[in-house]
Amino acid sequence: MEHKLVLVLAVFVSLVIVSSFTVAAPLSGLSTILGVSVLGSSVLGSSVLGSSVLGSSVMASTTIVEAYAQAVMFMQPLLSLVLIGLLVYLELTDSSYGGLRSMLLELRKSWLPVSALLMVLFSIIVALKVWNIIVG
Amino acid sequence: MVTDSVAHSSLQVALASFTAAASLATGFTAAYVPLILRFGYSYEFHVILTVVFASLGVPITFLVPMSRVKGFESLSRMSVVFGFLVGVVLLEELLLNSALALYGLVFSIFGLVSIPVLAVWLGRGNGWLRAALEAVALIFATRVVLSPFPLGFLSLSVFLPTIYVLILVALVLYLTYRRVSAKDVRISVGRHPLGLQLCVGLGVGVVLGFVEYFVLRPQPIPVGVGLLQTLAYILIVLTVNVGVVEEILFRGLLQSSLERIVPAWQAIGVSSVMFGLMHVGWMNPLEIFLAYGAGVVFGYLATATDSLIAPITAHGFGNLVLYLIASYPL
Repeated sequence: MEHKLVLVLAVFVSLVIVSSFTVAAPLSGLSTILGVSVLGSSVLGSSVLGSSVLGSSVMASTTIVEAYAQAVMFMQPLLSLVLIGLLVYLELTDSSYGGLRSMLLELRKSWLPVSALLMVLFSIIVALKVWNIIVG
Repeated sequence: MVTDSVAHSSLQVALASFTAAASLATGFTAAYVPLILRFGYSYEFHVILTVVFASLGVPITFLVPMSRVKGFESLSRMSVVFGFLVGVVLLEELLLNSALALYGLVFSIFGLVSIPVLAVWLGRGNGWLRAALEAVALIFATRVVLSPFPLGFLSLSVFLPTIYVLILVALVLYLTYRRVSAKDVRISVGRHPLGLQLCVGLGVGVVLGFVEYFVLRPQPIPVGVGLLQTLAYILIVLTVNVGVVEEILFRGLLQSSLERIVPAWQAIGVSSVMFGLMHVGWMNPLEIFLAYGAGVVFGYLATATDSLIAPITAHGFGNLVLYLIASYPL
């Protein structure tokens, strides 16, 4: 892995850790600041350039929050299934099984980083499930 | 990777990029007025204007035939490919930010997995085209990384940094596996003095922050105790997290890859249209257009300096200035 990329990642992660300690209580994060204050006031609240806004539309209701919560629940098993499919493909296209068409090998290279990312996300899903069980 | 750089002078790139942006602005404004009179500021207005933005953005970007792209000597084929991808991003974002969020997330994972197939198919013999298409797949990864976290699980202060770390992990994994060097994605000092790049980035960021504030006109943000702590948090989150990650993805990977195969101003146009569409969630068509305009400016800075320092500074400080003015309204 290239040194510059490792450095960027390291600096980034350390700043994230620092940021979680620096936030002051009354303003608890960007979602509050931009999501509620800016988005809420400019879009769902009063006006944008003097026009009345989305307050009465379906987007302003709690429907979207519920829909999003359900979507995340559905996505977790879907993500796991996609990961299994990719891992099976990576196994079947392993060079030790013999010659393969170049296109299949190219696809293997393209899907490797995708599989690695999904593996990271899957690990987080599992860790959170275990955490939920332990905490109750 | 095949390098087929399409070189133009900085002035040519600037003229072409800003002419395209001005054309899109004209079309956008021409649609804005009758639509707001017809629908008022409603969800339908937002959706229709977003579709208008994407529909105008693609043809305007591809006005000049891209004869240099191997296998894509005809304008129509290349514009169809990126037009299709813009359409997929548009649909995914509209779904994700609606009551049909489930379909939006399913679309995201579908895009993340299927676009690499398209990249392998179309990018044979042209590594940079493949990289550009795979960068579009990574745009979908920015939505897929939301999946592990049930709503409300992460506190608000941790949510955004966590998501951006995961996106950066995805980028680093990609760049490492694909052996794309940091210099290729403009993680470098560039061709101009560092101080000059920082100053330009700062100046552009301040102007963009003010413009965004006067367009959005947010209600004042109440600033409580611990102002310095809050500012430190905002500085880190808005300048480092958001600025660094989005610039590496859009200007570093997507735009830089495209610049090897098409004129720079077209690369800037495509990445900016995609960048604009990633702001659909703000539910404000003006924000989408602002993000597009900011993308054009950041893209030009990246091309002119051959570095991400100025775009990252401008992006981060633009967000910071918006927050500061909202905290202390003029």
